[in-house]
Amino acid sequence: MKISLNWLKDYVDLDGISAETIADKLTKTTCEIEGVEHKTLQEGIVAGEVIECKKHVSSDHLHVLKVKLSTGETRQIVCGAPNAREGIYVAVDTLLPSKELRGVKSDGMCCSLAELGLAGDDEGIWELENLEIPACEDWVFEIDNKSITNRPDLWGHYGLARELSVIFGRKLKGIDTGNTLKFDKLPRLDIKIESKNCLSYSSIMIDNVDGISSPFILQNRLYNCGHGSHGFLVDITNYVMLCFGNPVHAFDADKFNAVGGAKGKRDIKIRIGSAGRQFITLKDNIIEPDGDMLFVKSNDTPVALAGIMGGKDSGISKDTKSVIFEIASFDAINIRRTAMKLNLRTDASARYEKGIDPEVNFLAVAEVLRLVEKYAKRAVAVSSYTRVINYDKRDIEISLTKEYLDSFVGVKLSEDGILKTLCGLGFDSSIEKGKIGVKVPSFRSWNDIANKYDVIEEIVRFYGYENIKPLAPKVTLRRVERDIRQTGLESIKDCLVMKYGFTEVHTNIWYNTGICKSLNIEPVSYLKVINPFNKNDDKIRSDLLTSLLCLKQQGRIFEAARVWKTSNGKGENGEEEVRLSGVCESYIEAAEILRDLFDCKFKLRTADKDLLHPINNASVLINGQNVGCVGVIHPRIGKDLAGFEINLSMIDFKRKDEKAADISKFPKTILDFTFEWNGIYDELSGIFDGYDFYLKDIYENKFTLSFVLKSLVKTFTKSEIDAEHKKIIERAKRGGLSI
Amino acid sequence: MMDKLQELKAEIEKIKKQMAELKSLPEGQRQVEGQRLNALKKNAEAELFKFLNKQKQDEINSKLLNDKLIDITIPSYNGKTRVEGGALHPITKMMRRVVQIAVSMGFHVEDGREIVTEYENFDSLNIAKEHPARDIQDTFYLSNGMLLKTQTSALQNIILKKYGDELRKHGIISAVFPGRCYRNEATDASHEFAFFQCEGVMVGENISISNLIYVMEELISGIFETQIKIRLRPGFFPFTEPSFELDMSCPFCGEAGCPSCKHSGWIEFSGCGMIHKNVLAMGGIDGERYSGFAFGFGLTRLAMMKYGIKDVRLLNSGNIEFLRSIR
Repeated sequence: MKISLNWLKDYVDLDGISAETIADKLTKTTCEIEGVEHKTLQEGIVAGEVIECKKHVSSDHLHVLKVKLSTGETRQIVCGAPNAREGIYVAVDTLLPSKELRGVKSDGMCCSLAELGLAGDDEGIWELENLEIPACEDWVFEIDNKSITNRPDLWGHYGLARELSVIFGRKLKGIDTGNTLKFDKLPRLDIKIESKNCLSYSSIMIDNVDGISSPFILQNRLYNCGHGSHGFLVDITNYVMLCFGNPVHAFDADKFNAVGGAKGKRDIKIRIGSAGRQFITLKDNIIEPDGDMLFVKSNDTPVALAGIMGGKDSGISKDTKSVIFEIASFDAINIRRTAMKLNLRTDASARYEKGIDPEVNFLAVAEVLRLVEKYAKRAVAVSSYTRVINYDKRDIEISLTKEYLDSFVGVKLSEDGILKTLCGLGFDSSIEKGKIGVKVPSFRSWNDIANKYDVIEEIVRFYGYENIKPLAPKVTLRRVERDIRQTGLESIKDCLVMKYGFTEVHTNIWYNTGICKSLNIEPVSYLKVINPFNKNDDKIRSDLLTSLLCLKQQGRIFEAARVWKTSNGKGENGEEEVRLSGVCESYIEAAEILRDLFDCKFKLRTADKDLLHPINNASVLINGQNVGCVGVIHPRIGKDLAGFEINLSMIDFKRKDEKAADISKFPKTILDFTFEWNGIYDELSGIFDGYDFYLKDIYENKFTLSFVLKSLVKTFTKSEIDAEHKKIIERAKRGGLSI
Repeated sequence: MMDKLQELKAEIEKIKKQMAELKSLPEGQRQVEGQRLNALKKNAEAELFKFLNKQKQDEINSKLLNDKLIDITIPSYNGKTRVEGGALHPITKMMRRVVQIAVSMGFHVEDGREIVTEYENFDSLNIAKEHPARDIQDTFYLSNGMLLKTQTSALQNIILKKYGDELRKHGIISAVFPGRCYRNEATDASHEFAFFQCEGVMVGENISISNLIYVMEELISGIFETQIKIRLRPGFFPFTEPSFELDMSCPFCGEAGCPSCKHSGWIEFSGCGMIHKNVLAMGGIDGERYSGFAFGFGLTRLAMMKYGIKDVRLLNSGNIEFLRSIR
């Protein structure tokens, strides 16, 4: 939103304060100022009077003007504007080099407002009000709208002027709202509110408003604030909206009448409620109403989408002679809902969505009337200012103790400072015996100040956040232990990275359907994203290994991340599981790594995983529990790859009982045997249960095992060794091994 | 050389012969003479040992100088080393750094779910049903009514409830909880739909705004390993009141101005504020007796700043060359 410094100065004295300072202070206290633009009039523009206007010899639409400048000099200027004529005052660019237009000399140019960057109007030359160029220098502040979402009172210059009055300790100008009273004797308008979504509705009908050109100050200020100029009446509505934040709408009264089938101006019926028939906006949107959308109606016919946009059939045109101004308040949520449904966001709807205080209606209508009185001398009010309300005035009173305030902020604040700030912001406040009491003004009562913390924020932001000194909290000393699951996972990651050279990656929580397909993977998912980023990628993953394979990376990678696991194999009931998964180039090494990390066992060919080789896979078991799988990646997906996936939620990270081994003083005896064995190595520990042995060598299916005989209390005798020798051979025979 | 060896050996033999003739000496002299010869023998044997040892060392040393030079400056190539170095993800590294600082200040560290309920992500954070924050365009909604969390604040409710007892016992809750969040936004070099944030809360009997400022200065100074200052600006979040935008003085140039801080001397860091009383209430905490602050900052953004990562999309790309370059 753009804000003009000159406009602010209408409401608060800012003399002696630079625009940079204002921007800086506002950013620190109120809202984010993104930029400051200095607007000036270019050099060499001088006012002049057209004392002669003759048609150009060789052109139909050109005129040759004699312009007497305010400097006394008279110039000949060729001009192509349709409104060039004798007697008007113009703005002349005197620095333009002299040139010839169609053979006639032209010394300078009569400028349009657009050419001078003062307004959007390009239709003709600027007609000054007198022989003087009005003040044109201004500074324009760009406010980040996101920073005022919760401040409906700041969507107009007056609200910001109020903030500045407190920041700089200057007086805020009061607004006289009494100018509606003089119309009280005129007939009231027939207004009925049919919906709870209209909080207040007020109108006044005024005749003889045709043929008035929009004054410079309206055009220029609207232009500086990023708005176009659309004629006097529409400019009034936009201008007043930017004064107080309350949108204003204007209807052509005669059209309003006709559309509603009224017999005359006395018969006008203004209704606010739901519409039963189609409505066309002034931007040609065709709207089929539903029961929720709020409309302004002329009798039964919708004439405006309330709070959002006016209608084609009742809009202001150049010929409008009679106007109905609407100053209203609508329910924020309803307007927002409708605007979103129809994808119609306007300056008006943006303001209503924030929740405007209905009491601001009075400020808005006062300004409308002031502008009409000033610039439309023939205008005559035909109705009284009629206002119908459908809300309860808010009367919020909040109190808090000074002690609480000081403790909450961490600073002893001065009572004077507190009162000055609060009163300056419009809060009726007092401090008595350490108790602060405030009455929240109406314009801060809607979606804004609700409790003592909101009041504290008001006090502290003007105290200045930079004035609060950092204070260390006093805290009870206690031990804070790291979660053993976190430290356990950190160790696993470190081991994978430093010992085994894995690189940690991050992947998405949903599958990339396209890549899965290209790898011949059919991903299984129990949960979908309703509004996915890519239409095809809506499956929340149920495993992690697929995500890693989809990266198609060369090299060892791993990730510890979350998947959604269903609780019964189908349906969406389930929960998140944390998985650890890795891909490397060797099945055997993957197994070794898992053994190293988890001290696990393997059950060959039992991993139920479609991604793995049908033979070379295994379940990973810890204490008999199946915690994951490991295997060669199925060749249809990739060559020379192995992968694993472990369910970390099932890992018990309890600190292992680390105990030193008892070292015997007595020498141990080692007996080596070479067996032929065609089974799984793991089974040998069952066959030789009770014996301490290790693998010394393997050649094809011949295993050389070293059996260790040791004792803490004695050396084995020859006969004892022989006995063990026989026992081992016995065991081997029973187990099906041959020597 | 050989002569010396023979000389030494001969000397020992000579002494041995003399020792053999000891018995021919009278009793009294035998002992004294025996001791003298013993000492001589020990000396001579020591000399012999020293000589042989030196000979051995000389032989080793002369061989050494003919050994082939092993060029250890040759790096690993073509997979010829045992294993090529791996790397942790930069987010993991950044997270560990933040956690380390937080733990040193007595914060618990929590991990949390990524798939959460509407209550956790919105209602418990005082975000009303019709609030713009609940727009379907920004949040990923799931088919079971849950959603992918859009902010780490979604865990505040659970954590406040979890540490309620500790609050009553020790008078303080302090916890940080980093995690991954998801937003349905267009992606570019600075925006991804999945990113990491880190959130923290501190609740106690007299926790104030001045405490918030102190703790954030300490935390951020720790993360960047240099003393920084912070400044607060007005902000708005439904779950804090008052709410602030927090900037830090540029850790790279210290307010002097540099490209990292766009020459302003300050960098936006996070949002923060005093926890809204409704949020405390929903977390089972008495807002009259206790007060607290919460903060949430972009961990992904922080990692990009610290490691000079120019395109956020690299972080989820699985690009090993990129990931290994940050070691």
